[in-house]
Amino acid sequence: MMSDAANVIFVPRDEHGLLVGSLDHLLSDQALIKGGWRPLWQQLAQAGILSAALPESDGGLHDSRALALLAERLGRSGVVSPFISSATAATSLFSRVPAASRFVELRERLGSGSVIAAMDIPGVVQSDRSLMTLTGGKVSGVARLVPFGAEADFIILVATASEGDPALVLVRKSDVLIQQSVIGIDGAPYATLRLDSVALQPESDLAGGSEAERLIAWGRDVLVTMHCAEALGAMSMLVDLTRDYLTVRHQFGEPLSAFQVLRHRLVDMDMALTEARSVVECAAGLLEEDDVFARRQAVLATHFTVARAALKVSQDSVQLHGGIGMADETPVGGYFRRLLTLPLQFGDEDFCAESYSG
Amino acid sequence: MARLFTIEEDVFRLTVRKFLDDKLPADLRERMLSGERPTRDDKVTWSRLLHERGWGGYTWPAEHGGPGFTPIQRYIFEDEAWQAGAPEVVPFGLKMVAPVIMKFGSDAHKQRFLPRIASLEDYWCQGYSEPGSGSDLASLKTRAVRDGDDYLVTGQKIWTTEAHDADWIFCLVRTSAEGRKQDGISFLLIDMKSPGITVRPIITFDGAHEVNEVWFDNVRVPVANRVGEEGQGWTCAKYLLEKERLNFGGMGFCKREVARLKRLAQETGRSRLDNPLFAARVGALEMRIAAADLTNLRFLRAEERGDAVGLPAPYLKILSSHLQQDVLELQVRLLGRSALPVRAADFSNTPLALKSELANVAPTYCNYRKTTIYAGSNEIQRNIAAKSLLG
Ligand SMILES: Cc1cc2nc3c(=O)[nH]c(=O)nc-3n(C[C@H](O)[C@H](O)[C@H](O)COP(=O)(O)OP(=O)(O)OC[C@H]3O[C@@H](n4cnc5c(N)ncnc54)[C@H](O)[C@@H]3O)c2cc1C
Repeated sequence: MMSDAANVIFVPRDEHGLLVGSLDHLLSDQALIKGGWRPLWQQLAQAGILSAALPESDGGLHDSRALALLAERLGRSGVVSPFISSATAATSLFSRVPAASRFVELRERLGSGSVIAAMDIPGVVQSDRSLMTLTGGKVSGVARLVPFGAEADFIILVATASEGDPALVLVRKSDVLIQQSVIGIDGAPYATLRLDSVALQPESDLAGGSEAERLIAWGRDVLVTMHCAEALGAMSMLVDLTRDYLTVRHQFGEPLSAFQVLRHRLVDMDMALTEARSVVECAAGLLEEDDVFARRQAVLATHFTVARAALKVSQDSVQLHGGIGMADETPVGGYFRRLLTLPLQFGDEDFCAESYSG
Repeated sequence: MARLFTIEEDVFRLTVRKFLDDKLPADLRERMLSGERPTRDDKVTWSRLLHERGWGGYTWPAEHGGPGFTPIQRYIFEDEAWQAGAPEVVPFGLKMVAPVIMKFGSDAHKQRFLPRIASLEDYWCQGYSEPGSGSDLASLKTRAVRDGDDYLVTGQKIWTTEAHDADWIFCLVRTSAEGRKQDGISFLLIDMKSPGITVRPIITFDGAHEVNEVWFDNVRVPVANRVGEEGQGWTCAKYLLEKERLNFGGMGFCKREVARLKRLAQETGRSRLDNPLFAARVGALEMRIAAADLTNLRFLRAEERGDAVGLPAPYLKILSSHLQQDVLELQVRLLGRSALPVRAADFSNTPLALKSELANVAPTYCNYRKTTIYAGSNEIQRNIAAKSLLG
């Protein structure tokens, strides 16, 4: 029996625990994790992790709070995968677009891990506005540094139609030219994609006009929130690693944990993590809501809080580890680099501060 | 009119500027100004140029073969060199072991080592830290056991910057386990080609190879290579640490990187400096740099007069390390998505090369987290300062 309280933010639901449990089980396999995201992907599909974003009728949970929990665990594991774009934002979008039944099969393939989707939705940063145009049913332009853009089978893009209206479009791998394919500071692949007069097929026109505007805003909020959830996982790992290190490392005949300044630094890190968790859970809980303003404010506050916390926690983790924190063979640096991608992809906290009260 | 520098100092600045204009190779200058980190060859090139001009030992007094610059001239020289795009000098010989040799070394040491440091014929590295002895340096364990006219050195050093490039290493070693741990330490100069030395790279999380582990397995070191008396190593080390902390090219680096930050803001075509929040961040940073820079100058003027003012070593180290990190953080914030790529994907059918200028921004930001850790971590610096304020 499910009580009404289960829909209240901060109160966990039983099914979330089950799913998170099976993900944790997978991620405890160190050998699997070391192999990068590809071998993990099929396992995620089999465990039902990739279909969590599907509607309940398709065997999913249709619950962003569950997705945020999964993103967090993946963030904690340190594996960078297309989970956020493919299994949360894109999969959810395909059941929200007009005539969503067009995408039953695609959703199923995303859930089974047989295809992956990338997404390029302009962030809050003005300068990252879409460089894609839609004229006479044809899409042209460039999408810069799309995460997993070269690996994806499908890419969701925002284009500007001739009347200035936004359009949400879906293109296939075969439609795009990979202009530049790079490895990012986090070790993940990014690709700059070019489209030259790609004719839109009926199923590639996801939404236009005000419908597109609504979905773009929503998609951006999902991407940012899930990225923040992932960052939360990475930060939780850094706080744990640092706490453990302070107890085992000795200098001057004492554990580092005996030095008050380090104790206080750790507390500040943990406090930042605690606040980050509160805002992420709140934003994830509001993603399904129709109250666009409340959702937007919650996502901005989350982005702001997590961006600040991520810098603080990653910088202090390295500092409190001393020299060993700089070595690539310890896990600290990998999390440090991944945490940098939140402000790089979606803008730093200044952008949020500017927009919040406006 | 009140001024920061005398006419003579201004003239000196122009002399330095002229030298840099004439001699610093354009290619090197350009690479440094676009944020590339210097290679060993770059550093050698620069040192040779200085040496030819008689400035190889530019931090040294005339009696030891330096040009005898005043503290302020040294400051001006570094300020100009950084901003012109000169690579950083290798500090380990010039600024670290050389002052120790001048103060504690024998005449034979001075004759043998100093000239080759000034010309960078010998490239030095610093072997202090050990796996178990970082902040608590005095607990170091690398042993040196007397065997006739030699010591036999066994143990491990870690985080040794540029050991893989070095000809010589100066080491703190334990020559006695008796009494106060500081009193059992000696200062040795060791040829990196000695049998029994193994250097293993440590890659830092920005992907760079700067630091190493250095292992010593019964390495034979002539007793003649000891600087100071046996057991006087800690005194040498403390003297050197003072020098190390006073030698911050940090401020020059900050000014150079702020200039680059502004240039990148213009070049990215959509000047983020027009954004008031970002402009305020840059402005605040520039004023912090100015305040630290003036503090540095004030300390140097005091040094010139032979006065002691404040706590120069810890404060300059703390201020300049944070400023270096903060200017790099602003570069990352400025570039946003453009700072993501660090290299082309391996499999790539990539027609466009990566523009390296942007690709080094995020890695350098990562790399410079080291500045608050090395040369006595900022926590240790604060402990030192607090002790002097509070006892
Ligand atoms: C890039 C790099 C280059 C380096 N190059 C050299 C080199 O060329 N030669 C060389 O000899 N060494 C070098 N070092 C080593 C450096 O000096 C040490 O890392 C530093 O002294 C800190 O020691 P540790 O790493 O063992 O950290 P620890 O001493 O274990 O310190 C860990 C953390 O605890 C803090 N801490 C420790 N004791 C106290 C205390 N009493 N009170 C408050 N906080 C405390 C530290 O500040 C730090 O935050 C380098 C280090 C780095 C990262």
